[in-house]
Amino acid sequence: MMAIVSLQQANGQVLKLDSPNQYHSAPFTHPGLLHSSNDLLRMKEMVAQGKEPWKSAFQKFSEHPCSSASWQPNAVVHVERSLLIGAGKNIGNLEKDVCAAYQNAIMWAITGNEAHAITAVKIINAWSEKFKVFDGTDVELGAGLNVFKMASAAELMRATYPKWQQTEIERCKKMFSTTFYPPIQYFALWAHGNWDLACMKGMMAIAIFNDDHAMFDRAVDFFYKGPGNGSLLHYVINEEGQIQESGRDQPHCMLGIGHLAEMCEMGWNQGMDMYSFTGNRLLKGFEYTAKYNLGEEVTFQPYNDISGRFPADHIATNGRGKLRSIFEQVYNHYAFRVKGIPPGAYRYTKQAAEKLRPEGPGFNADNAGFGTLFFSLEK
Amino acid sequence: MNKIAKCLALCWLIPFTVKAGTEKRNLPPKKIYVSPAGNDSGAGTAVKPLRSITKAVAKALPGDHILVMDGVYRESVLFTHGGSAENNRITLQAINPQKVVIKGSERKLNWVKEKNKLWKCILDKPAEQIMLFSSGIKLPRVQSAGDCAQALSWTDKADQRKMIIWANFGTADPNRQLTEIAIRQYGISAKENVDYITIKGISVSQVANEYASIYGIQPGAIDTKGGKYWNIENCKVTDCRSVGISIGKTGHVYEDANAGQPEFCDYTDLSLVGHHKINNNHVSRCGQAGIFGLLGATSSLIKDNLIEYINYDREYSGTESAGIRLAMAVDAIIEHNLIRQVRGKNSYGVFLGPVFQGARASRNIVTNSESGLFYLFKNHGPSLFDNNILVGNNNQATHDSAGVKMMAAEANVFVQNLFYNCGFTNNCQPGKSVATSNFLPNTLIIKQTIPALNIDHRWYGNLFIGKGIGIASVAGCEADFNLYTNGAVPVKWADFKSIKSEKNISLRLLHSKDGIKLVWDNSAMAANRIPSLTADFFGFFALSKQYISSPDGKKINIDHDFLNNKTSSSIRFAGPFYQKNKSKGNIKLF
Repeated sequence: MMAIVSLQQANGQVLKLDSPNQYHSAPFTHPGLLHSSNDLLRMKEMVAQGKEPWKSAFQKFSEHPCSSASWQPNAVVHVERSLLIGAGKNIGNLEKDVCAAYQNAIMWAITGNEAHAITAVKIINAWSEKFKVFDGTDVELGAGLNVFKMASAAELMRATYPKWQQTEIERCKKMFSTTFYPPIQYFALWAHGNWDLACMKGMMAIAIFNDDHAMFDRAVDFFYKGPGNGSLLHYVINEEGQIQESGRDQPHCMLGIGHLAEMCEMGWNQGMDMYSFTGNRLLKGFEYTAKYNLGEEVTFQPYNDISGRFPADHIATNGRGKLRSIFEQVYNHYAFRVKGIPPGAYRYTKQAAEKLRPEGPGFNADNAGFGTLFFSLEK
Repeated sequence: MNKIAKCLALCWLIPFTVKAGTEKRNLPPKKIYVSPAGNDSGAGTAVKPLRSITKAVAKALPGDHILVMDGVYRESVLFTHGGSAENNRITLQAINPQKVVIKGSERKLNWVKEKNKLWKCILDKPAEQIMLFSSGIKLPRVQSAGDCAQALSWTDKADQRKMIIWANFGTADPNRQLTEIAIRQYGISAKENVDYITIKGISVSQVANEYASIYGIQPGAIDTKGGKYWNIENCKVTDCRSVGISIGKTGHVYEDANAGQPEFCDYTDLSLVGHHKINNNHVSRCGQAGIFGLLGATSSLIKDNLIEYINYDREYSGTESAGIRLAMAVDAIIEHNLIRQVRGKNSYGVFLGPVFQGARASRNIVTNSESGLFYLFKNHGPSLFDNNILVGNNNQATHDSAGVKMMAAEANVFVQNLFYNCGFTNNCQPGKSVATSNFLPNTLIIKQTIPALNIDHRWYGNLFIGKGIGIASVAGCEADFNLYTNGAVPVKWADFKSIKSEKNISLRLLHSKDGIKLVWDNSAMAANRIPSLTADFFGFFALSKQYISSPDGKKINIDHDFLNNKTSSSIRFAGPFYQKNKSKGNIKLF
């Protein structure tokens, strides 16, 4: 057996962050999370024209229960996401509602049917009015994942639906900063990387919606050089693209690289290229994960993670082959949006995207999902 | 009496009728007196005291003081009810401290002399946990009558109905001297969850209690029995079979523990446990531990206790022996205790864990503890150890022991301690990782359950004499601004601003019956530039989401030394004394 090595100087649980760089001093572009104005226009036009793959993708998207304008919010005061038996409160309500808010916002942007706008705003308002307490053993995950989708919905509605009252928008901002942000503010240094990443992408989403540049810098700085497992080079641990969680199971790997890609897309919409960091390390993570989950073998470097808590000496077969809806975004970025990337560099990402096309929902509130509709670009 | 008259009489009586154990009372707090010369049918006044403390305890109501006159009380005192609030306690107090002794033994007469220096007696009931005392000295129990013939000792033979004891008292006659057999399981105890009890100045001795386990029963000679807010002050506990003072809540084994149902997940409300003050007690010659307990140390203060001669006859061979042995001791404060002469191959000065997040051990003196001075087991931290004086054995390097043994205990912060011949070990649990919970700060609300590792320790401003830290670099560990002398060596992976002195320090401990002095000459010591040792400096422990802080959540800055001298100077001496002691003078430590 190969010796397990620490590929990096391991960090402990003590959070020591250098002063972050200033990544974005200019005003943020809105809408500017996963979808720019141009993205929304593209989706709208392609669907209206009945072009593939948007047509099929929209069919799948619109049939999803969370895309229904009849969705009724189920907001509560207290949400608890917990691993403890018998614990956990209302997390299902929140996850379903954030998906419904987000999907209705997209439906509004594509169809122009105001019923969807009303539903999206109704869901956001219901939560911003009631929701006060978020806790539980896994609160970092709960807060990070759900605020990302809620903020995505809010970002779209603020930019496209003037009837959303300013006072309601301000209340939404306050909910983000006072209920969702506190649990994610210190990241999750003790955990597998997808935890940090949930915090990072949630933080980035709040920052853009709330026009909070310091918060934005904190999240982006962690992407580039954070001390936890979630920073890019700690999560995609080598040039082969091995993932920090490859020795754990495959769904968590896809979850984590999906988070990284979503951060890159938010950055892209704010005029930054986070995709290309360290020779497109993100793409290498996608390729490695796609290849293994498409049935091919990959090299595995036994290693210990940056926290020292999760040594792994072989790749995990658990969940292998169950592709998640994360591949279209990265495939389209490298194949069509940036130039000069040889097709061999995104071969397996492309295959995974093709295998799933049209992509369905992200798992619960984990990732955005529906990448074929959201991210397909004209060739 | 007609019905109306009866009713009126009853109405008149009700305001003055108080049932023991009720939380509200209409009578003013009273004093209840107890004397060996009293009578349990008496009123409990100073002139008509009760005979037994048991009777007084039964009569006492919240707010009452039980005042006990000098003498020996051979009984087990059980509180069936307690006080109702901090200012409405039931207090059991010796009028003359240390002159009231509750004994777990009975005097035994009618010994029959047999051959080979042996004396024989018969007990009506067999009992496993008994002890035999001759003129106050515990006699060792041996395997056979043949063994007894060789020395002062005793043995027994029991069946279901009786127990025969053979003892060798040397030249003494057990019927003429004081011969006692300890049979009772506790001196002072309570029913489960009796709160707000104060015990002052009482001595408890010769209690034949069972051995305790964090995962089971935890009988103590004085035993809070899971109650909270007990104050145990100025008491003396001696010659007990296992634990002197138990502040434990009966535990159990977690056979199927997992991340969804981890160990100790059955306690979630910090306000419902612990909060004791265990101060100024003297615990000696107890067979397992001085102070022991699961949960009871949470938010408790254990201060100014002298704990010595634990497991002194090495009869206890289990793994939970210590001067102070605590688990689930969240936010416990262990301050200025003198712990010495803790014996046995698994006996430690202070043994904490699993779980002591937020605990602080400060200004303790621990010495002559055979297996190690501190044993820190299974915890995510952070925990603070400051201004302690830990004196290890000179020969510790030659056998499997450590001054400070850390096993799966993260984030231990050592500041301004004096480590004399006190090495460290720092390991993870072998085999499969066992998950350990951490909690939201200053609560028992589980935040995370993941394996505890050996990471994130800190050593700042300590004085190492004879031995250094001596462990390998581990994730998140930091060491600096320390002083190493008498051969102690800084670590290579840190200690960049520490000092290694070529000149030696002479150091000696002078033990007395109830204290200890330090005799040393540190005039050769060099001062160091040491930054302010603040909570911010130690860092934010992100797993537990807290800084080094006190139970009220306030950050702790280490700006006082052992003698409570304050400094604001960055140039000072590493270790627990800011000032030089040039004249080889004595420093009273305890």
